Amino acid sequence: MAAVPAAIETRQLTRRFRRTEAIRDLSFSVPDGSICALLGPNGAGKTTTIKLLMNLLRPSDGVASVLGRDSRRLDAAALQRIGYVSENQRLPDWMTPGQLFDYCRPLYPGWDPALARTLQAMLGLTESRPLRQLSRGTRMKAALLASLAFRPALLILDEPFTGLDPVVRDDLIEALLKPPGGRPWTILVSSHDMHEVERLADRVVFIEGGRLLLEEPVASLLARFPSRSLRDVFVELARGAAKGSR
Amino acid sequence: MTAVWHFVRTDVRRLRWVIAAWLFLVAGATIFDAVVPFLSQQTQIAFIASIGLTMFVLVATLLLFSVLLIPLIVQADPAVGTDAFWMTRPIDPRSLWIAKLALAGILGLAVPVLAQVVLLAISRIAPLEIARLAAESALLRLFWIACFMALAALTPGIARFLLLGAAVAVGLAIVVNGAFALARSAQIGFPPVPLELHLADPTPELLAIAGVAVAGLVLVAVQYRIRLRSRSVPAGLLVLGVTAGLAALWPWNTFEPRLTVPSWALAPERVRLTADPGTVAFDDVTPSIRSGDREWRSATARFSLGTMERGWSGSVNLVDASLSLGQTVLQSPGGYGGHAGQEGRGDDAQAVPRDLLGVRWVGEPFGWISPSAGPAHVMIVREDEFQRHAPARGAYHGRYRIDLSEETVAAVLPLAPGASYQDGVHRFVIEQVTRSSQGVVILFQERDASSVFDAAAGVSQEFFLRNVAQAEAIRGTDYETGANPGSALGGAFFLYSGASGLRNRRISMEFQAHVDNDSVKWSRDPGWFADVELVVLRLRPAGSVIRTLDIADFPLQAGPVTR
Repeated sequence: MAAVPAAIETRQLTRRFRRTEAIRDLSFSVPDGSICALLGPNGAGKTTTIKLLMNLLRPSDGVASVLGRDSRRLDAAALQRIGYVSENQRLPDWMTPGQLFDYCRPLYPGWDPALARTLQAMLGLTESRPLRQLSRGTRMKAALLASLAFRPALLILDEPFTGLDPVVRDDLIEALLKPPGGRPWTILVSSHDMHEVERLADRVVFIEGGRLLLEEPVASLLARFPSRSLRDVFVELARGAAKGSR
Repeated sequence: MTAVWHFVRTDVRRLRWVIAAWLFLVAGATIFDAVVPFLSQQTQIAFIASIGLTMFVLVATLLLFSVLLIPLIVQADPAVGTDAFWMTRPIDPRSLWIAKLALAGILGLAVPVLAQVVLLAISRIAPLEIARLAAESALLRLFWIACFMALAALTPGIARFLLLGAAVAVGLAIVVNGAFALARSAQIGFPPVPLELHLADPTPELLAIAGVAVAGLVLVAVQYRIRLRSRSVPAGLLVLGVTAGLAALWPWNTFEPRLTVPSWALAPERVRLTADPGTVAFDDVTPSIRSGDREWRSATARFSLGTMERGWSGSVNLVDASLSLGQTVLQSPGGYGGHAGQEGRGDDAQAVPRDLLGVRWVGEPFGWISPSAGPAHVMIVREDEFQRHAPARGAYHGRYRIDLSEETVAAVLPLAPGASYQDGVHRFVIEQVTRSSQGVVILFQERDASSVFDAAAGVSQEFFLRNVAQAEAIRGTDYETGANPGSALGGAFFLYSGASGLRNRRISMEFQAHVDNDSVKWSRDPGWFADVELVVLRLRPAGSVIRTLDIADFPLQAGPVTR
């Protein structure tokens, strides 16, 4: 059986901030077509890992490959195939959602106006006020649409559900999982929300203190811990890691 | 190109109100610059008084916009941090850099320079001079734009931009003052200044300004591309170092003012330098700047330059000198100069204007210019050397630079409102003449423009009231008056109007009827001013020649020589 090519692959990825090692020897892969959840407690290094993958930070050691390209060499052509949504990202909040889409459209040759219109209707993005005047949920919807409308090969989401009400979460998850025309993208999503991850992910990567604890398909993980929810497994792993580090 | 245009349009849409306000302010300032000088003085004063606060706000706002416009453009897509939207989008950093530079260039350079060109054209400045002034202004603006872009590219927001700018300014001030203090600490009591044999050449400074601009833009380009200050700052500094070296080693004096020495002056016998050994005098010890023994003495003498053409005069400047006292040779640095008389005209400093005006007497305001010019420096020696060898006599050899200048009658005007004078771009018109027992005051409008790219030495004017019947004249003194746009808009406003190169001024010129002080006393009654004309003399530098001076029996002794 042929190996599934990886959309993301890291090898001994390390990132130091002065003397602090935020990420240490992190090696994991995200198979093409999968939905992978990057899990870990606060300060585990999830956002740092994602920033390394997006070339927002440079690795101190090790390498990361994104869609077959070294993350340090992600150029405009590579970014035309990657969607990115983060709670930390500074959106051009003087724009209305429509202006944001108009701004993004020329940047992506694969921008699908029909998909954009459908997603706009699906997410209820009809606001004509600037993003800064809109709720956090609406801003995240706009950011997600701007990252889906060009049908990316890879979608990287950094804590996209934090602070959102359940209705908005459902809207976002539906847009991610059931876009018109089927889902063409691989997803890497970091989140604290175990319930949503359980609904969304088919694979988890668990990190703690910048180190990999576990990388496994969700089904296999739940099979190993029968009658447990993903949340319980997460808590147990996190506590175990904390004890181990003590 | 499409991407660049896309980013420019986005920034224009984002900053539309700021841009509208900027255009309004630039247009307002230009209209103000164009209109105010042509209002009558009373209207001008009333105008300024009535809208003084508005003007202050206009100036302050324009200054603020000049500084903040660039970071607003650059930091819309910050080049630092990890959370900017553009960093995760398929945006070529080069396109973004070009877009930022283009918009900053259009708003910060092209718009003000265009306004300046319109202002200069309205003021009837010649197209070639307009082109030079626009080029100079564009270079200075590019310098500031590049500096502000660099600061903006290294910071995430306006507050950090201002902090970094203040830190850089303070750092530069400390470095410059430190260097100055070091230079002064090494300086000697009576500092001999090396005399330049050429007029100041602005070419290295212009290259340095261009170099800073290029370094700033390189820094911004690298920062957008790599997003690491640890790479972009050294890259900028490297380019700065290279361009500074280039400016220092630049072999061509491209913009050095061109002065043509007349052929007659090249003949040694026509500008013949002599000094009377009997007038040589060493002054007392000059106090040292610092305490210690580094003190100097200087000797002066009265010089003559032979017979020169009518209207010509020269000043002597010591380049270097030596005095041989048997086995010992004292070396003298140069750097100091003074007046030299002419054979047949004595050492009278008024001889040339008196000759050109065709009068017997010229009244100097406040007795400023003594009819008898003082001596010029002939030697500077260290005090300890002086003490060791004086009194003594020896063979003196000195090298001098003779700066030549030509004075001509530029205009003879009736003393009446409306009379005007024009010499190239320089023009003035008499607005008002006021006569009183104290003399005459003339109010006139003056317009002038000059650029560093003119590569020309400054021409100056002297004004005299001449009474032909009595063969006498009185020199005028001028001072700026009224609401001149430059001063009204604030001297610190160099970013905008300071670079226009256009001077529209209202000048008040006073011709005194009485002078009574310790050294000079003269008086003329109102009748003297009844039938006078205004004579404008134009003083033009005309290059330099080098001459040597040998004195076989040169006295090295304190005080005047006794024979």
